[in-house]
Amino acid sequence: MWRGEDFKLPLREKFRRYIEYIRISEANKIARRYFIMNSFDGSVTILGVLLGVIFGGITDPSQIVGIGIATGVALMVSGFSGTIIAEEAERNKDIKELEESMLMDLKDTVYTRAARFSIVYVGIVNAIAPFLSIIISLTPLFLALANLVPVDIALSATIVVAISYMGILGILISNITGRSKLREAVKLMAIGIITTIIVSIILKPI
Amino acid sequence: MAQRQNSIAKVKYVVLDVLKPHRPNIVDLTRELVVKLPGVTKISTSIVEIDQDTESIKMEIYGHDIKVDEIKKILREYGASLHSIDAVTIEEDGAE
Repeated sequence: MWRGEDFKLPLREKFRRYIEYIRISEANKIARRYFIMNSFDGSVTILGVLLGVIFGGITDPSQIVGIGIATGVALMVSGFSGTIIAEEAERNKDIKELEESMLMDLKDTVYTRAARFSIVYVGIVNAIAPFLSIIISLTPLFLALANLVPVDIALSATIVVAISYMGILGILISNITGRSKLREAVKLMAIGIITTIIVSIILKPI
Repeated sequence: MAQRQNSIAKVKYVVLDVLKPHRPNIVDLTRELVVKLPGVTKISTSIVEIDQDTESIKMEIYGHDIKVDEIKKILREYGASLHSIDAVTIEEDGAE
């Protein structure tokens, strides 16, 4: 695990090092992939939670926000710990293979420090992504809590915001794939709409 | 043979055969060496061979006072290892 040996360095030098570590470990590529995947995960999860709440007849915005934030925190912890475990195993394997090819110990090299840094960096991105999706989706309910919007409108709006956020993720994906923004956005939003329909069909008789 | 007074022999040019991981790439590694070594003025790096995990590079280093041990230290820091010194030019500074 990255122990932060560079903490003693001045701020400017620290940032330069971190950027170098990100470049060496190609962490941005992995973080971008994880960000989209986990943001989508967060959006679909909160969509399910919100539909459950609506069909369950809960109308108190503070309760719904509480459930949403608890879900967000759980996904955050799961995202961070899951990434740390998976990435650490993967990076250690890479280092071991490289050590065999180089016939040298790579401990205390930039390569190992970059690998350690990337584990934490990707873990943080992976933790923030679903939480951010959930907080954005809950925005109408925050407005309802402040008595700015009626609760029933806010509840419907959360579903719309969650599905719209999926559309934004689709646009992000199109930046990577180079495919049409509209097509990617519609594709992801369609998944959100299908989720809403499936959950509604299941929950309606209950 | 009598030794010249007050003269210091300094390394002005050296060719190194280095084995390194693919990352950092040769641009970053070469830049790092030029920036960190005050006695070095110019480095030309070229790739000689690429393997699955590693690559062999040839570094032509120019300067007014090249310290090979310092280069070795920085290469080590970047996970690279110096295989051999293939050529060297040494000149005397301040010869009388």
